[in-house]
Amino acid sequence: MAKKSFKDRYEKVKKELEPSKKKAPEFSHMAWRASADMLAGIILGTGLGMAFDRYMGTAHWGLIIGFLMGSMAGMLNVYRSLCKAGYGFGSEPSRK
Amino acid sequence: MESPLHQFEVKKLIPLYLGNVDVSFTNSALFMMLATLLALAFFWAGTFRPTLVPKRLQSFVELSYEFVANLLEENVGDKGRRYLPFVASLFFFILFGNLLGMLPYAFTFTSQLILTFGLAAIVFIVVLLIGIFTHGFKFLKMFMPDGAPLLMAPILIPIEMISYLSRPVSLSVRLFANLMAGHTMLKVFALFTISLGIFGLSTIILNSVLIGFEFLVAFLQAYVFTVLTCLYLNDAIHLH
Repeated sequence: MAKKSFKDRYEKVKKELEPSKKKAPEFSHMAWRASADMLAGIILGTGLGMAFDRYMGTAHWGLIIGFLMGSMAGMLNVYRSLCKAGYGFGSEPSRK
Repeated sequence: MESPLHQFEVKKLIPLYLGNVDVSFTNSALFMMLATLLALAFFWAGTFRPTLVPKRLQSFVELSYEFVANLLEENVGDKGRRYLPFVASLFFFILFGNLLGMLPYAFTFTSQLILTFGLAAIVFIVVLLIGIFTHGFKFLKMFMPDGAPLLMAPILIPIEMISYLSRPVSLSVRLFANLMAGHTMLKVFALFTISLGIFGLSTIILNSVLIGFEFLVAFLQAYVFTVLTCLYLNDAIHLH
């Protein structure tokens, strides 16, 4: 009886400890990844917008729209990479 | 006082010009060649006289090969097997480059944005070609999420395209920023050691800890680059 209860308690504690032990280092890694993903989206969107402005002469409209689009893409990147690692809530919006 | 960024300066060792194009042999090129040759030597020495029961070096080579092979199999599956040479050479090139950069007086070529961007662009183009060749025009459906109303297409498609195009940017910036920041930090603390005099001992201790940390970063960043390459390959092969 005592043995069984110990085993139960052991299993319970083990279950409680395992996810946190496994996730702790990986979460900081995911944070680094997320920041790079976000930045990449913004840099690329803004860059494309500025390049569009330069060749088309549509002063600043390309920059503004490009920055907004880039931010959205960056958010999407972050959301997707977090979902793929199992940190997101809900399901992925487009890629099942 | 010397600048902590001095170490990232590209110097021309042998000036070479093809017409107007500067193709000089730089210290960056020297260390790239060294990394490639070292990786080749490592594999050659390990498999020079293979035995059934592997010796130390041979088992080290086999373990590192299996590490990349397992990475590919976990992330891509059986269909990814044929891209092993590509992924493995990327991994070992970056890994040996990062580790070579840890030697004193060595040049860390992975701390150059243009190089990491070049590698990421190669990955991007290869993955794009694999996607187009395996799926044809169905590949383009990736830019339009299914189930979304057609009215949203003018907004959704550019966002999806920017998101897709930003992959090589994030891939290259990650590797470059980690290596550059780490090596700059080492140099900054090393310079403090000189200017602090007797208290420099504290920065020596800190620096020796940081060097250990840099070795971890050197390995981890090569690993992250490879894992992300595998994930992109997986996206291209198994279209959603």
